[in-house]
Amino acid sequence: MNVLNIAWKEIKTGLRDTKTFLLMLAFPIVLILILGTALSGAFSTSVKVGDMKLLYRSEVTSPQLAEYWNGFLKAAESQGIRAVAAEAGADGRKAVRDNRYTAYAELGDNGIRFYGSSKVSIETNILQGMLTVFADRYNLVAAAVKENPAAVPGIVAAWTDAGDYVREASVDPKRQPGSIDYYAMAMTTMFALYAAFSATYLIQGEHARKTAIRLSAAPVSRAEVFAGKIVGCTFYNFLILLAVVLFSKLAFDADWGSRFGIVLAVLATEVLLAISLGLALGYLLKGEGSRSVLMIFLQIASFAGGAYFPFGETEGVIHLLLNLNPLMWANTALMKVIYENDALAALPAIGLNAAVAAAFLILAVIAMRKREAL
Amino acid sequence: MNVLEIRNLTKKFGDFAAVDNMTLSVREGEIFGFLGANGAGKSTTINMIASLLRSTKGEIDLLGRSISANARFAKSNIGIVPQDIAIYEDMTAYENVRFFAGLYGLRGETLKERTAEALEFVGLGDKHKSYPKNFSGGMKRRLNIACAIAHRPKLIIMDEPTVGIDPQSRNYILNSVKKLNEMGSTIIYTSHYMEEVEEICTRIAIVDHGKIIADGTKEQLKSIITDTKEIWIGVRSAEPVQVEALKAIPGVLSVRVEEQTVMVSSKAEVGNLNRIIQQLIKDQAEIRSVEEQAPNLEAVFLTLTGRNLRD
Amino acid sequence: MDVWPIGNKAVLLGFIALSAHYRGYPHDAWLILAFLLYLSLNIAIPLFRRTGPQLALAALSAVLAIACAWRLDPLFVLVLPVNLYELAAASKRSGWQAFLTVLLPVPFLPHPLIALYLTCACLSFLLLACAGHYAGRLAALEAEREKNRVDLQKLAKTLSENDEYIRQSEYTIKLEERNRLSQQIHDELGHSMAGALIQMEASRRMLASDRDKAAELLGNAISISKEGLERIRLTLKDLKPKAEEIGINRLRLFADELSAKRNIPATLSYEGDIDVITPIQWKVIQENATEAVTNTLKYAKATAIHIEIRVLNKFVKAVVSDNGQGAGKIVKGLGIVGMEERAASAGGMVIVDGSRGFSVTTLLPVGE
Repeated sequence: MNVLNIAWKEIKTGLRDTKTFLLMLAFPIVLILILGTALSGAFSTSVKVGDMKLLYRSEVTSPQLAEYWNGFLKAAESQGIRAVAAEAGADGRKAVRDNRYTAYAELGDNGIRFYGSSKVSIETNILQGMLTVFADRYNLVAAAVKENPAAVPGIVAAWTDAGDYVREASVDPKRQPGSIDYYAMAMTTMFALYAAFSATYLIQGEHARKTAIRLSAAPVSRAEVFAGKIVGCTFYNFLILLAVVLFSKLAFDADWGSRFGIVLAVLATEVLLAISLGLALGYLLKGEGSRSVLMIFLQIASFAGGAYFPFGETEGVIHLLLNLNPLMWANTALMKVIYENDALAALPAIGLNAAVAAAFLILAVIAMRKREAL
Repeated sequence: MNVLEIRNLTKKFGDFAAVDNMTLSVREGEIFGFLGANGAGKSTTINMIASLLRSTKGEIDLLGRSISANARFAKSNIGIVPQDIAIYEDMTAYENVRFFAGLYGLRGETLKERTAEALEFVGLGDKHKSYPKNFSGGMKRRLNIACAIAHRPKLIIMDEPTVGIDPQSRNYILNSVKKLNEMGSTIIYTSHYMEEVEEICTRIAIVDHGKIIADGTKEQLKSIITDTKEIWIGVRSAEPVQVEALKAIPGVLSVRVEEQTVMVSSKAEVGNLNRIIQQLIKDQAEIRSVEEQAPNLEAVFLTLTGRNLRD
Repeated sequence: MDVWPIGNKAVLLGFIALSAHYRGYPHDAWLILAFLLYLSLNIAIPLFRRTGPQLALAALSAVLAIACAWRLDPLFVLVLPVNLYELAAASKRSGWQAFLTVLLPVPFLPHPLIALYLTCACLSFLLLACAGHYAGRLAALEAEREKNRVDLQKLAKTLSENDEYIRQSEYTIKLEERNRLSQQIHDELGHSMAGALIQMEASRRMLASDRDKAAELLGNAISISKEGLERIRLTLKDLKPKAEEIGINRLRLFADELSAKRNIPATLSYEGDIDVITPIQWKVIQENATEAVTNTLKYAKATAIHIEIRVLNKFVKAVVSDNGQGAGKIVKGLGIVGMEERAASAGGMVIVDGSRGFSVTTLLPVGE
């Protein structure tokens, strides 16, 4: 009963402080908006492929090959590649270096020499790929000529007609977050950790206002005060997060997936973790010291946890270090829940949050027991 | 019956003994005054009584039960008015009192009634919905008291409840203390304002360097230094004064007469000023001034400790 | 304490050996060598009393455990926590630090082993922390007992010394007093009686021949005897000094001595009826004053000392104050405690204040 009493008081006075409440609300929303629009380019999934100009010099003597090459050029032309035969004596490589052509190919009877431009890597890759396919097929034809000349025209005709040197295939079957979606999630998890700040004041504030005297003198155990404060503070900060989530969903149309309950569970346990952390720090370090330490920790955690830009796959020690970060595991879990609809992915995050929260609470209790009163 | 009994109480901070082997008892119905300079150990003692500090040595019994073994019982029966104003500025006066009273297990209708009653008692009945940040110093002090009495504690501890407020609020508070006492609460009152302690306390302990130097009623304390008081009465002429008649008044020890002054030395505890003056009027001595030099607590403190209370 | 880690390691080693056996581990000579090496290293640990070799051996066996776990049997890692605790204990680190170091290898362990490792680490930690805790308690109790024993011995010794001293001084006083009395009686009474005797002897001789002269001599003898008797009375009266004379005069002497010998001007003042101060109270006041002055001379850097005796209605107040540097918060030393005890024995108390110079106030109740 006392626990609820104290929790309710925390929530009420928290909500009553409208200035702080609005600030806590506005800050993540503005950041979502700014980062989401400013960094939208980093999340774009399409790549523009520029003009592809192929310079070639043909020293082919075999008519079969020459015919086949021409067939290839025709097919390439239909894919939007301009092929230009090099003038005699011109330096093809220099032309590529000067960026006048995408690539330069020298055809001989023995094979193709390919010089790609490193300036336009995608285009070069496409050309190289096409020429490799061409070379493979030419080898096949050459072999066929020797073994079974009757079959050659059929093979060549089939290829020249279809011209399928480039097969379009999507490598992107999954849903991917847009920038607003990503930052809505990342900012929410980040600000969930910021709840630790308000938690440092939970006990320090009572001391500053001298009300700690009354709380200690009342027939209420310190455990009850503790529990009440944590419940109240967690609920209050969770309310703010809920508002941020809803706002981002309704106003920015951010994607929070369909497993809303699980997303909220991850956030709630993360707030609990943050508050336990803040409480323990508030006990262990006096006054502003706890806030400074927390600030440094939160900045590093935010940066390393992908709050400002997402990390790709990592490995080894770095992977381990990054995964020690509560933001990282929360973000990873939420990504999986939202974009892969994998509800089970939230369990490790929820479990870790609860475990770390418990650890910090135990730390705070140990620190508390060393004091005589609250 | 003793509401509070303290035996050999000691509190050390490192090597420094803030409270040094203190023994005292407070009886039911008393307003017990703790008189001492800042840092004498008053607040430390009070904090130990209120379970805010653990004692290094010694025992404290409240209503016959050890407070360390019966913490919940002890805490429920004590109301503490801290020296520093301890209220939430972001809650209304009513919410403040209700929150703290709620911690003492009051619920529902009782909680509402007691909260309203406590606010009414300190004269903030019309300020239910106001926030303390708009209160004057005196009003905050009164709210500070209301927060401590709503649960009707047997023992109310007031630690300098009148620091830094206007005379009007101070009188209000002193009257409230007396009223609380009449309503059945035993009160421990600390102050370094001598006049307050002298005015309201039924028994006083002088504390210095963590020890109780002397305790008793104010008369008992004063008699530590001397049993006599000097009454100097200025008259137009001392000739008609009948010295023998003055000497016959109970308590009078000696009488000296100069040209325009009658100097009576009397036992301090006897209230005989009226009769002396009546006698002089009967003698038609035409009184011009009366000056009584009786020892006060300030003098007691100064004499015993060699220092002023407000050093 | 020493046997607990050994037992702990023995159990773990047994576990490793047994599980190696049941897994059908080939009887590898290296493994047996490792076991023996580990055994000998760890049995050696408690043989040393100094921490240096203990530290080295614990480190060595930790390294051995790691090496064996790496090359021979991963289960060997289970004994690592115990060695790490030993290292921590020998280097006086807290148990928590040790526990955290023990968690360090967890990421490098093969996954199936992690749970086992953590369980073993936690159990070992509990066991050793428990053992350490109670060993510490035991040591503290032991130390306390030893201290009590020494105190008791000291007290008993002092007591017997005091008894002896009291007996001695009683005897000495008696002797001195007897000497003084006999001297005085000899000086005062002896001469008179001798004179009177001579006069009376002469009177007896003259009695037959010259009665008048004889009567005169007898008269002389009588007056000499009277005078002698009066002297005896005076002598006996002188022997019993006035109590307050001793007290205040001794204090005055004390103050004068301070001024003369220590070159610190010391003043003495008194107020009120000092007759009510009992000899016991004088004794307390005198001794406390001596103690207080000793303190002042030692610490205060004072240039003046004032001793004040004031008899109030219900209290006797004796204050020794100086104008030195004083002290912010007073930490009670033996001196102050002694003064308090003396005052308490006479029903009074001592207030020590360092806010303006240093002052020691002894308050003693009047008429008790």
